[in-house]
Amino acid sequence: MSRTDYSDFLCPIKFCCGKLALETLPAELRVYNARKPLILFSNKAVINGLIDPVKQAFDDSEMVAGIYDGVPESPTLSTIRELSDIYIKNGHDALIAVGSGSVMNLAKVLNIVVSGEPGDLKTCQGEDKITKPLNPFFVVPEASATGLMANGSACIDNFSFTSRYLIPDYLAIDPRIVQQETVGVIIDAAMRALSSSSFAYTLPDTDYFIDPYAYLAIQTICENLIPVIENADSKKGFKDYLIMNDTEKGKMALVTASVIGGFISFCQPAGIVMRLSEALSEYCQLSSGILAGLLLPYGLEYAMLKEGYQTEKLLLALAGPDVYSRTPENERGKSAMGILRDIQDKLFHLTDGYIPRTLAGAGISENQFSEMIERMSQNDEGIDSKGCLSILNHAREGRPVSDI
Amino acid sequence: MYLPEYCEFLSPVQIASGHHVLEKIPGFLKALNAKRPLILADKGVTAAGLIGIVEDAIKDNVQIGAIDDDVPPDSDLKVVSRLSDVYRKNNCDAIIAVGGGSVLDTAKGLNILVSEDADNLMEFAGANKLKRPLKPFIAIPTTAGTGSELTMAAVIADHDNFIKILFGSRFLLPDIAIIDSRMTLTLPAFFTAATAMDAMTHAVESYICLQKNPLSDAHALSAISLISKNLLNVIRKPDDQEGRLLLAKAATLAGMAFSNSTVGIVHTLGHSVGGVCGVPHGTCMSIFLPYGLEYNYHLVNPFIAELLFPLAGPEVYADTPENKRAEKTIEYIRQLNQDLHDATGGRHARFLSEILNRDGEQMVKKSHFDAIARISIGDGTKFYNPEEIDYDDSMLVLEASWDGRPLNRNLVKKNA
Repeated sequence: MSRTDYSDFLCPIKFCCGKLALETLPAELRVYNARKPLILFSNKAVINGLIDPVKQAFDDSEMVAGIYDGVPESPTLSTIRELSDIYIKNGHDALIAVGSGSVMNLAKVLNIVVSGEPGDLKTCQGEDKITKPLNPFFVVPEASATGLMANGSACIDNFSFTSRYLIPDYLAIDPRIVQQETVGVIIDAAMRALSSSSFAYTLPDTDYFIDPYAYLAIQTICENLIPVIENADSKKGFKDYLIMNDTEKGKMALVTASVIGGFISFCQPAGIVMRLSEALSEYCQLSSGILAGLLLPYGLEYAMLKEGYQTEKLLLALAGPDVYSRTPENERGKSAMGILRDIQDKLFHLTDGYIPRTLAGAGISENQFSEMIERMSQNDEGIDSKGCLSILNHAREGRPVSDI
Repeated sequence: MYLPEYCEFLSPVQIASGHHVLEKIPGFLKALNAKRPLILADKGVTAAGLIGIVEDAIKDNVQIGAIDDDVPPDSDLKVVSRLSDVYRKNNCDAIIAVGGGSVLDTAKGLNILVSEDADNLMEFAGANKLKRPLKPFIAIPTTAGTGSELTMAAVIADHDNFIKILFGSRFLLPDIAIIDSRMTLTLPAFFTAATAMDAMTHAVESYICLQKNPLSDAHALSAISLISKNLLNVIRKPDDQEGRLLLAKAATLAGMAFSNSTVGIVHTLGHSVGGVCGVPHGTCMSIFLPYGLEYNYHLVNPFIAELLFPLAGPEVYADTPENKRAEKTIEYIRQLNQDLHDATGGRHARFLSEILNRDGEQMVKKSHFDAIARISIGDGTKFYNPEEIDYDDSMLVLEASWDGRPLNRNLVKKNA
């Protein structure tokens, strides 16, 4: 099937992944005629010792990079004011955000301020209100990258912004930066990306320009997630740090997939699985990414039955052309769902049950479903309440959705 | 999945595609803060009625600054300079380029002059001389093959000094590429075949050459699958608008792939045959493509084998033993050329001796081979080919492709 009507696609990010990716930053800044970047580090990035490798990348560049290593977990407008003063006073001409989460949010909003007028934060609020390119904005993600830095959204102190101009220009994924992270965080990021990519890849109306990104993210996560988790330091358990060495390439690939997943989630409206997992995360201790992984096969089965999502196509990305070709056409969708459930099962065992296989296993009672869906529908009129309930009930019992 | 130690990928052009996308141009121009575009094209584009379609689609909502369809096939510095006068005299503030490689390259050069307020394009020759975004630029490809709308390079001739000048910068890229099925709907069958095989070659070479990476691979696989599924159908049923759109999308995907991972010997030889004998680029691509795979077979046969799936589909892939898939891929491409030859009444050339000009004369002669091979070893694309191409290798491929004989792989020198 194909998207016969209008389709619009834009991915302005330059991806740079691999050894010495950090060392490309100065040359790439020069492409934008930037000479004096301000580099922002999250507190966690500072604790993880990420300042030195980033600083060293500028050693031979003749560039004077400013360093700000105190980005709080919850930055506010006063943080923006402080940083914009630094940026302007010191004559900076580009931003580099290192880490994940708040530092990315902060950098995007800061870039609106330093690229225009002080009043721009008010006028640029909302969707597509930014009308011209901002100053160069580069990001260096950690292993915990959820991919949100690759999208065009930002929010700070109730100010929210959505624009293509917030998407970073350059993304450098370097093994020195993705060294350390907990297994739970890596699974959360990977499953979030797997969910958004799987829905995008199986759309009833194929979007041929999102397809390659989605295909790559799914393939990457399927090939690398379990081996990376298997190679975690088992003595320390899933909550402790992973060890690099053998899994270096796998972790690099996973971070890339997470970033791509974040970009895809910006291109496509959030599917039913992401919306449900966000809502569910308020009812349990699990993150929305982990819940999205659990709900994914049920959500896809429902979407296939209700809206004609091409779940059979997913088998190609999950298992490769050999398995896809050998599997009878009418069984491909079922096989793909089997692989997703198998991943969930392996994660359950590898994390000593921390990653649940069912919502019942996550300690979520079915009594909570109705209330949760009611709350969701208050904020989102388009929510398919019956569909949500069906997905949740099946996911609670671990029973595939075979009819609606 | 192939994971290199290091890779880069960038494809920042907005792609708007569909059957009626031209009508959205006024909105795009507004978003780019532009009001008076200069529309560039060549005479062929006008003769095919395409400028009329573009004009009709936008004229009610945009003040067109000027339309200039006098871009020659081998555009040069003087043309770019003349167009900058047209742009300035008509107070234009954006460029819309409608056409193939030459029109798009000319538009890129023009955008340098009018954005930098310069008169001498040579000041910006070479790589990364531009440091800031240029004027709004919308590309409307009309051939579904070249991928020029996705490349950061422009080649413009200096006919006075008999040289071609390369300009390279990400700022040369258009802001938006418009993929509208109406732009290729009237493309003749043999031309559709050649340009689609150009796109196929971009995708295939992108997948086997040295700078391949996971993102370029994913784009290449999608492109190959779309071309393979749609090309013959469109040749047999030229008014298949949906098939036309899918071919155009495939060409765009292939452009995204090769503009990141580059190309190899098929282009090396294609550029040289084009230069020496004036053979259209797409024709060279379709002829040399199976030879490019045979030539590199000993180094990249697992990658060639993987291409069987998007080319031939799951049934053929499953029915072919793993160690036969690479050869089957090559066989499949040869058969595709044969099918295109049959479907175009013989106008799609299968090998060099079949290429005829409008007067029915042979365009490539064996006596050209020496010059072609000598030029080929100076072509920039050879550096990204898996095997190291030398004069003898070029001659070997030229001899075999003269009459369509498969390449004797045992004769390929293992230089790499």
